[in-house]
Amino acid sequence: MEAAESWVSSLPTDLLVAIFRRLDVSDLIRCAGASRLWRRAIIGNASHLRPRPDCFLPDLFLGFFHTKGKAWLLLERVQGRFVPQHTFSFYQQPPPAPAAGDDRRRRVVRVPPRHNKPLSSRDGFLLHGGSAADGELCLSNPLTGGCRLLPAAALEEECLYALVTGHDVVSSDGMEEVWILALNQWKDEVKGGGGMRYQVFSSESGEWGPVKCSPNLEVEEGMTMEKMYGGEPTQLVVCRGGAVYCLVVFKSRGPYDLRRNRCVFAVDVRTERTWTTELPPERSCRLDQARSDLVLATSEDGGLALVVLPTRCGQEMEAWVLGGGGGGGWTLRRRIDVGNLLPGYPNLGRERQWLVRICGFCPRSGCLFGDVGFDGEYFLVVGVDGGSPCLIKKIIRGDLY
Amino acid sequence: MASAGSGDEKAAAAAMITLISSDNEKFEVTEATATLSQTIRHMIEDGCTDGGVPLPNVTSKILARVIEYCKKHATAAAGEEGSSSSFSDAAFLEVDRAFLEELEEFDDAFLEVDRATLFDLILAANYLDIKGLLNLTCQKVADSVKGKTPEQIREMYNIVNDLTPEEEAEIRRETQWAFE
Repeated sequence: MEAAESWVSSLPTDLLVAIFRRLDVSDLIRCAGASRLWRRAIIGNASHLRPRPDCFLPDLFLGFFHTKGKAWLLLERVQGRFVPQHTFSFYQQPPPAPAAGDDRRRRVVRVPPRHNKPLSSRDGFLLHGGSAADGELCLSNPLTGGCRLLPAAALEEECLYALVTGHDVVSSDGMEEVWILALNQWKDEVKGGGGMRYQVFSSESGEWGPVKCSPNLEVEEGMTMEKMYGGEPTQLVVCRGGAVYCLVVFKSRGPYDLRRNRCVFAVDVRTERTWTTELPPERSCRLDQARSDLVLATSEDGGLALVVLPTRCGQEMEAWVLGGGGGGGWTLRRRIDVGNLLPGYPNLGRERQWLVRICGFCPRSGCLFGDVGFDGEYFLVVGVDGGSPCLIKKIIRGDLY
Repeated sequence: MASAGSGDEKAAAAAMITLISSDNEKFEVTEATATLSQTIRHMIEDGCTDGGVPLPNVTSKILARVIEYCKKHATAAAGEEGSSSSFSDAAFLEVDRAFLEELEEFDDAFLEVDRATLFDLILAANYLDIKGLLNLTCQKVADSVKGKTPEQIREMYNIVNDLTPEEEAEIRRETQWAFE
């Protein structure tokens, strides 16, 4: 045993790296949590550990991956069902297919295999569910190996889940505390319009609170709520203090009025108070519903941020921050000319359309990431608060839409 | 005696190389076996193997294991070369597969050692520059940590946890389990 200890502490970094590069992301992250030496070896050699330059972004965090435009978390099909795998292989070549019955294929987080749908993640916690889960959710911490089963929210129909942890709540005593917000919408069949319905789970009480509904939402005279915007889990953001935000779309009551309007809906997970916040002027209306042009994010200090994407060539990307600069309103934090970043643009023909698609936001680094280019051929990482936007050429082209 | 390998006789003498471990034990191996190690191959090419090759970083216990590995794999390599031209395709593939299976079995059995030995083998493979052995042993360690939590890894390898609770929390927060 002593020999083993001396070996681990005296092993040259290059040999540690030789071992680490045989691991996939989730295992690598766990190794990085084993000791300082291992952590330093992994973080210091992140560039040697990446299999493809467009797959690994050491500036963001370990294990941040990208394949074909999405699939951050790969679900691997094992015996007819999908199993969360959290990985993209770290092998330089595709890993050899394990032989049938090889247990290695079914290792990874001890999330029960029926919980095969990732619902939310934050601060190392993961929430899984799935159609086969019999109304059960699984809250796990892949780093510590902890795993806890809890009932699903009692909301009718499908809902989105957001995780809020003790880190988000400044006054919280326990960092291990977790809240889960379940959110969907309700429709007023009589008067038209509707509002949001929500339920909060707290790890302290160990159970779900009562289902609550917001009042019938209305932004201005005659505009009632139509739906949640986007409706993907990545479109819920958690701000400092424990408030969860999402975008909602409003439509005019008038039968021939096609106007749409949008605003932000918020729930504080601790007080269960809800409110709405208007968007920066002239950023809320849009008639063209074909593509998403708004993304919620958070600023450096954990406040709410809104990123407006260009919908035409020549437009700039804008990052707005709520309550920035002392006032209560929106402040334009930065503009990014994405077109200018593209090599060869504008000489390559202005008529060629380039597009931006944001597929996620990393709260730790304050960076949005997604695809950009004429054909989604670049991977874009851009900070809300500053920093140079980074463009990485993809080796394999991703799907833009 | 030292002149035995000189002149035209050299090829005929099935060139034997003497390896000397850190504890001064001598091992006679064929050149084919020894040259699986790039380090020794270079020494042979440079003609500085007369009187034995001292390996001050490798103990006799580990060197014996390394030689065992090299012998097996050198035979395998020679067998492949010899068979490739003389068999029809189908027969060749059959032989080849049996060969590989046997080699795999050998490798698996070879790795059934305690952790300290495994680590020493990695160091020796690295020092002697034996690619196959280094791959094999590193993979073994990698496989052993797969699916384990940091706590289990520490326990397995007697690693002292020198991370503060704050740092551990930090690592956890860095780990965004990003999903679609």
